[in-house]
Amino acid sequence: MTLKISSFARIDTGGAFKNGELVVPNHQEGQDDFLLHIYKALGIKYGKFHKMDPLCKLAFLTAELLTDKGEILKDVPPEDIFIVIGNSSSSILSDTAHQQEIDMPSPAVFVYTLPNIMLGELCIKYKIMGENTCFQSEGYDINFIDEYIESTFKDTGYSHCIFGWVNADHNNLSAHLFLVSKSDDGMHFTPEKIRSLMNI
Amino acid sequence: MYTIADNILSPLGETTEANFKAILDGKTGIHLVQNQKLSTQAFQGAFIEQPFTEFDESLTRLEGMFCRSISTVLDEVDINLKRTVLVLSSTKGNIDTLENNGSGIRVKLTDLATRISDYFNFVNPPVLVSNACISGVSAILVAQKLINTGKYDNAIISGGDLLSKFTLSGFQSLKAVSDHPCKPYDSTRNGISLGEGVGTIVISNKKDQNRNNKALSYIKGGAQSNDANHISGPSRTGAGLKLAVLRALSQAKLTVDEIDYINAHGTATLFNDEMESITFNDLEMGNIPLNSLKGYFGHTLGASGTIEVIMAVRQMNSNTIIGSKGTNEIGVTGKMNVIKHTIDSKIERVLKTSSGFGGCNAAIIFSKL
Repeated sequence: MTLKISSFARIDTGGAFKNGELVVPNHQEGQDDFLLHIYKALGIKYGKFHKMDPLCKLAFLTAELLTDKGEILKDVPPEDIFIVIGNSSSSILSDTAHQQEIDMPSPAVFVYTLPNIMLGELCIKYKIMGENTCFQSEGYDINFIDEYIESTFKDTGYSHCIFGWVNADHNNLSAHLFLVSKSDDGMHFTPEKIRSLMNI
Repeated sequence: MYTIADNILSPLGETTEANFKAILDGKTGIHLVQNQKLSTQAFQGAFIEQPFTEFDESLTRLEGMFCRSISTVLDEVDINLKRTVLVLSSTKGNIDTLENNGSGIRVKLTDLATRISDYFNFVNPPVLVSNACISGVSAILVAQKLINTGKYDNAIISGGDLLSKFTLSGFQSLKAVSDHPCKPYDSTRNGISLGEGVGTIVISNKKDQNRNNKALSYIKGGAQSNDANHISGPSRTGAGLKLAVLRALSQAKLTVDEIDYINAHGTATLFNDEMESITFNDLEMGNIPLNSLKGYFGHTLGASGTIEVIMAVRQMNSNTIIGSKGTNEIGVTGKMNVIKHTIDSKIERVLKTSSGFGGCNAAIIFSKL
């Protein structure tokens, strides 16, 4: 059994895509409107969504596309899944919001001033109890992440991994998530394949 | 894999030895801080009061601290830098420079990492882990994996964070800051004391680089997990921490009774300390001597994992368990053997645990050589 990519999803200013196909086009003006539009278009009902910051919303919506709203993972034991996500702007949107109200801070904003919170939100939604690591790098270092994931699968009895890149700043948002598992079916998990799917 | 050199930079000193000695002498870095840049009201925290002067002025305060700590460990080892990776851990980096419009001096963690790496002319690209309060332990686990891939022989792991107005105001808004120096596991505990500092560890697949036996240990194994429960509070049952500890034990091929000492997270919030007590009780680890070092360093966030690992190894190698400063009367539900006053105790293996926002947990085990 080898590592196979079973699905992939992407959200950027062009829209929301599942396995390369456009699911929700972007006709919205601002980031917040766009994210809420995807939420509604996908028919998601998840109260926690509305309290999330844009980075977590972006990670969550991309993961909803990736996992068919969690369906794909529902029979996988929580401890058999791990998450590795890269990001370059950390939690800058929430950081700035907290900084602007620093003399009268809101705890609801402050709790989002860490980039790994988005991994925590995915863990809560999909009941994931394995490793969750958030790397900071300028761009998505595919070779590094690929090696890291392979070595994590080798060391531990994991069967599934969600990995990718989720970044949101004042000007842009971009998310690519992949689901990789020990399986006989699917596309081979190689840096070349990831690069071609990400179009970079 | 071995730990071969280390350094702690904190209000208690600029070397591991100075920090260890200060703690054995009963000193703490936590004091009443009166600094208008941090807070209009005085607060208890482990803030480094003395300014750093000799370092490169083009560096920010935190970068200067990182570079100072890393320079000290580089003086102690003779590793081939071409086969070495720098793994940094920080939660907020240069957050003290953040302006209202989102700009600042290298506020992006990746820019901070690049600056530090460039300062030393390291050839391999730096890796930066940002996993909230478990970042330091995470960084060690990540570094171990990177060495295991065969690409590197050594890693310099450096965790650092500042005591900033940003984090202080945030924890205050969560009503999580103690009005007295923090009291881990105590019945009257009411929150954290923030701290700042840098902890740097060199790990290597060869132990012969080691020149200071007190820093030497064998890394037996470790693991990370998530509670899948809440983003800013720990699981009531400790399910995530239990999973991390059990996986670390299994990777180390050890049983619960082979652990001689636990250096826990012990932040002194009601929920964290209670969760730890339930975890260790349920794992039948309630008799194992345990301490929290937060009463000495405060909570140093992204630095806490590396600083506390260094101190755990020091305690193991000197067969000493430091008294958990601030703990008077135990006030947790689960059975827990919190050491209140420093004792001599034979230690062959130590377990270090951390938990953090986002529901993450980490556990790592070291043994004597």
